[in-house]
Order: sequence, then C-alpha cells, then structure tokens
Amino acid sequence: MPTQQPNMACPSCGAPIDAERRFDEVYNCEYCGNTAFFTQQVSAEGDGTPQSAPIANIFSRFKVGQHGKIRGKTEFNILGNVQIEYPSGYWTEWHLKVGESDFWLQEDEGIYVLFDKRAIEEPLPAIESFQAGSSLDGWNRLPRWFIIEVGKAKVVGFEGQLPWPPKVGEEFTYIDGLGGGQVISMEIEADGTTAALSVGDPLEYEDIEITSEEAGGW
Amino acid sequence: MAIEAQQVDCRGCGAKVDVHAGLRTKTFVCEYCGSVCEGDKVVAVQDMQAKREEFKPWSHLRLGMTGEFLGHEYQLLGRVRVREETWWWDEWFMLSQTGFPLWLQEGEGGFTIFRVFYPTYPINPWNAGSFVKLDNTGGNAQVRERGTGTIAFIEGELTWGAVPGDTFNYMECHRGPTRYSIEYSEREIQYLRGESRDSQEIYNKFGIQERVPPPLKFDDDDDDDDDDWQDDQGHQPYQAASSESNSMGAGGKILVLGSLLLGLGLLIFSGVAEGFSKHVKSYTFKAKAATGKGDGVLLTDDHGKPIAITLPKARGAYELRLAASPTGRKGWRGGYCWWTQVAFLKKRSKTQLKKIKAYLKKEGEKMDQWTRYQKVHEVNAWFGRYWGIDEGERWNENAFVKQHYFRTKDPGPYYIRVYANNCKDYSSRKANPVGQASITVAIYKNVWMTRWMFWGGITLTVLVLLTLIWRFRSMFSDD
Repeated sequence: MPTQQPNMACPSCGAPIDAERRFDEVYNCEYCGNTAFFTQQVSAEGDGTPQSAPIANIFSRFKVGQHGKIRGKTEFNILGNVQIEYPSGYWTEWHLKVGESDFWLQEDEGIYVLFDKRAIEEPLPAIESFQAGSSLDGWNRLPRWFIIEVGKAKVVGFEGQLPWPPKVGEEFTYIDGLGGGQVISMEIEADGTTAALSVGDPLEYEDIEITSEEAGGW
Repeated sequence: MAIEAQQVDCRGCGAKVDVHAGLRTKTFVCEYCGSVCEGDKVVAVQDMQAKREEFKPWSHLRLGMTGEFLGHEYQLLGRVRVREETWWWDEWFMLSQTGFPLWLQEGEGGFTIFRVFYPTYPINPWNAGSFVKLDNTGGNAQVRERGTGTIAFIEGELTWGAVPGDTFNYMECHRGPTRYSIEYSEREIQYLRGESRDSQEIYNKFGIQERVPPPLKFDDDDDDDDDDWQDDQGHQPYQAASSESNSMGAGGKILVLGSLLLGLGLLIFSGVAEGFSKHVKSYTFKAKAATGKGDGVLLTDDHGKPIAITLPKARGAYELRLAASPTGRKGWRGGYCWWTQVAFLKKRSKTQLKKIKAYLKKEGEKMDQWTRYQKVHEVNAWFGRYWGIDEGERWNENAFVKQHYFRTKDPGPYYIRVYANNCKDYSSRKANPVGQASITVAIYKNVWMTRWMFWGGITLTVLVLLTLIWRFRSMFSDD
C-alpha cells in the first residue's frame, strides 16, 4: 500500500503526492500532470523551478502502478517512465522496482530489455569513432561489444516516480550494442564526460506478465 | 475492435488526421494534401491521387483492416512502398490494441510477418557471408538477397521516421519458413525475425473475400518486362530474388564436389600409375677413360662404344631411371660429385654424314666416333655424396638415384652415350669418383607422366578445401 510522505504536495496544485519511495527525487502529479522535483531533504522547492512535462498517450501494454512478474518469478512494480525521442521514433524506459533495487525496462518497437545500471570505471572511449557495425573490446570489463545503433536522443516526457530528475529536452548521445548475449547501452550527455552505462537482458514479450488488473495483451 | 483514433492537425493544410499510436506516431501522412509530417514538420509532400494509384498494393489489403495474429487483434496503420532497382515490396505496419507492433511484408505474391529482435549472435551485415546464424532457434540461414531500398511512398502512420526518397540497406535471409531481415545504415542496424505466411491465410485473417492475386512470374534477366507482368489491377509483383548471387547453388555444389573428386582422383592415380609402366631394359656402364678431350670420363659398354637399343612403341612416355653406384667415404669429412649426361643418339643418314665430312675437311678437322650420331634427347643429372661431423654428429648426404621422363615420336633403334665429369671442386678431383663409378640406366615404357597429375591434384584439392573453409567461416561468422 503506498504511503504518503509528510509535507509532500504538488507545488502546482497542492495535491498530496503518494510516494512509495522515500528517496526518489521526481514525482509526477496524478491530478494536474505537473512534475515536482525534490531533494534528499524532501523539500517542495526542489532545485528551484518546478518543471512540467505532461506525458502523452504512449500506447503501451504497461502503465505506471502496475505490477507483474518477469519469467514467472521476478516480481516488479512499475513506478514511472521516461519517454525518449530519437530520429527513428520513440522509446520508453519504465522504472521498475524489484525488491529494493531499481531496474529499467526499455520498450522499443516491440522489443524489451531489462537494464541494470553499471558503474563506469574506465575513461570513456572516443565515441566519435563509433558507428553501427563497429565494436568495442575489453572496455570497462564488458564483453566484446558490437555496436548496433548510435544516435542523438532527448527526453520528451515522463510520469510517475523516478530516481533522478530527467533533463527534459536536453539532447544526449546514445550507443547501443550487443555482446555476450546481453544488450549494452551507454548514454553520454552533451558535455561529453557525463555518461551512464546499462547492461541488460533482452526479454521476449511472453517473458513479462502483468499480474495487476488491466493487464494488456499483444 | 479498431484502435481508437486521436486527431491531430496536418502540419501542411490543417486538416484533421487520425493517428492511432499516440505519442509513438512519428510519421503520419495527410490523405488530403499529401503532407508527410514528422512531429510538427512537413518533411515531404506526395501527390496522393497519382501516387495512391501508382503504388497500389499487390494484394487487397487496405489501411484500417483488422486481423487476428498471435491471438490478438491487429490493425493495419501504415504502409511503406520500398523500391529496389527493378522490383518493389510493401511493408505494412500494424499495431495491437496494447501497442505491440508487427510488420507484414508483402512481396513476391506472399507475406511475411516480422518482429524486431535482438540476435543472440549479432552479425555485421556489411561483411556477412552467405550463411548466417543469428539465434538459437535453428541452424544457419541462407542470405538470399542484399540491396538498397528506397522509400517510394508512404500512407497512414508509422512509429518511426520515414521520408519518401530515403534509402536503406537490407539483407534478407531464409531458413525454411523462418525469415530474417536486417536493415542497416551507419547509424543503425535493425534485426527482424519472422515467418512467411500463405497469402490465403492472410486474406482469411483480414476477412478479405476477394481472390488472392496469382503469384506472377518475374523474369529477372529482362528489366524491360516490368510492364508485362502487371495484373488486372495494374499491380506489379515483387521480383524474385536471385538466390545464386550470394550463395552456392546446385551448379556451384556440383562444381566443388567435382573438383574435389578430380583432385583426389589425380592424386590417387599419380600414386598408382607407376605400376602401369613396363621395364624395357637396363644397362650398366662402368668407368672408362674418355676418348674425347678434357677430364671427362666416358662410361660406355665394355667395348667403349655406345650401346645400341631399340625403343619400343609406347602408349605413354618413357622413363629413364638412373642409379649410380656410390663410391666409398674416406675420412671424417669429405665429398665428391659428378655430372652425368645420358644422350639418346640416332645414326645420321649417309647424305648428312657426307656433308659433315666435307665441312670438317674444309675446317681441317677429322671425324671422331660420335660424328656419325645425332643427339635427339639428353638427360643431365647430378650425383654426389658429402659427409662430415657437426657438433659431434656425423652426417651424410648423397644423391645417387634420378628419374627422368621423356617422349620420342619415333620408336626404333637408338644409341645411348653416357658421359660423366668430375665436379670442379678439389675434393671431387682428388677422389676422382667418376673413375670408380658405374651407372645403371633402366628404361621403362608405357609410363604415365604423373608429376603434373600429382601437383594438379594437390592444387585442386587445396583450392576446394580453402573454398569450403571460407564458406564454413562465412556460415559461422558472427560479425
């Protein structure tokens, strides 16, 4: 049962915000659609100006608040999502809570990948040289990484609870690859030095079961 | 039940356009003004009236139709006409009620349903071989087609950015009913996996009552025939892909197998062919002082004359086996060698001899015993032995047996002259091996000259094996 954090209310309409997670920094008001940013001290002012990023109909089988199972055993709750636009279309990253851990379920053109964040322990490779078909070997203790996509993308919307405030509209470079039977994804911010690395397992549609009501089909 | 539509404004004319995939609709086409809209921009304008007729689908599928696939209802939302140089196909985009996309490819009179997937074994389509393995659902898939497609026409809506005139590379692979399609550029490689479906099955699923148009044959050698194979709706079919361009067809397999058998056959025959030859005669020559000048020694018969032999008629070549008798070794280090020339001679005619005699007389020279013979074939061979001690180990190298093959057009009487000469080095002169040597000349007939067979067989077999290795590497290559 969601708990209500004390002193947490939408800075736009004042509606109380339910939060399952104490330390999440971003909440999206289910009443007015506004997004609120909070610091670790649970301050309603957040980083200054509350931003608004109302989410459009993303037409997915998933919804924030649903829960389900992966491969029949790993239970998850869907806390939020981020909508990302790239030249070929849009993809959605669903913020999942599995036990006490955060995972991201990427949904893109009917394929799903359950991503886990990885620490970057080595200097970033020269991304300018990457293109689809090239490969990266032995970086950051990863298996040989066959690049399948390189491009620019930006966050265009989000909803629900997220562990960090998404930078709406800010362009970043993404590099996706395959290696060791896994999907590897790196997102590099415009400054060229801040990056996030994720490694994930590709899932079939049938691997994900929504156990809460309104479970969608194909 | 059709997917609920939302209306958005055409960025070109402001008309209301139905979109069904919400935010995920990246590209939509206004059916009134033909604007191809991406987000809030018009990226192209199509003359819908003309293009719709020109790019009419081969089948009776139309946007908005719904059909059940994988247990759920799907709706046709968009169509992309892709053109190759001489053929084309349609990509139908369809979506389920919960947003799961499928692609229905219509071409060559048939259909394939595709889904995007991440391969277990990603291949690099730029350098993939003729066979590829992408996943663990079966064996290798054969690459049937590669090329560059151009988007010629779009209608409806798509969840990806597409503009008429855009091009992309593609690669199609088959394994039974399983199909793989790889669309790629320097920016992205997208892998799709699907299954071919019977046209009637697709018609049934969409509830289409009309008859499936007959699959039309395509003559891929004659591009000018395009207009000839339009059906009654003005449709043109998908060109049958050439499966031979990147793969080994039946002819290729026969060629490889035939080459391998030929190569092995030549090797085997060259090994056993020696048994087919027949021994004619052997002659042993002992050292005799040469009658000529210089330091050579003539090895002739006991009478110091060339030996008369008769070469019988032979189906194949003759073989000459020269076996020299080695002389002994003296001391810890030493060596000697000699050159031997075996000449096949024929007696000159009396007329020829008369002319030579006259010429020699004019020059002030005299005939010797060899003047009456004419050399018709000659074999030169080196015999020798060297020995010594290196790092406490004794070594010995010798060469006393030589084989030589020859042909002569005229069987009949010949004479053999064997001439030997010490090598110029000091030890050979000192040892005077020729003075102590003897040599046996054995003649065989009906000999197969198998050396070329041996090397031909080796070359052919190696080439075939290299070809097979290359093909297997291609089959199992991951990138």
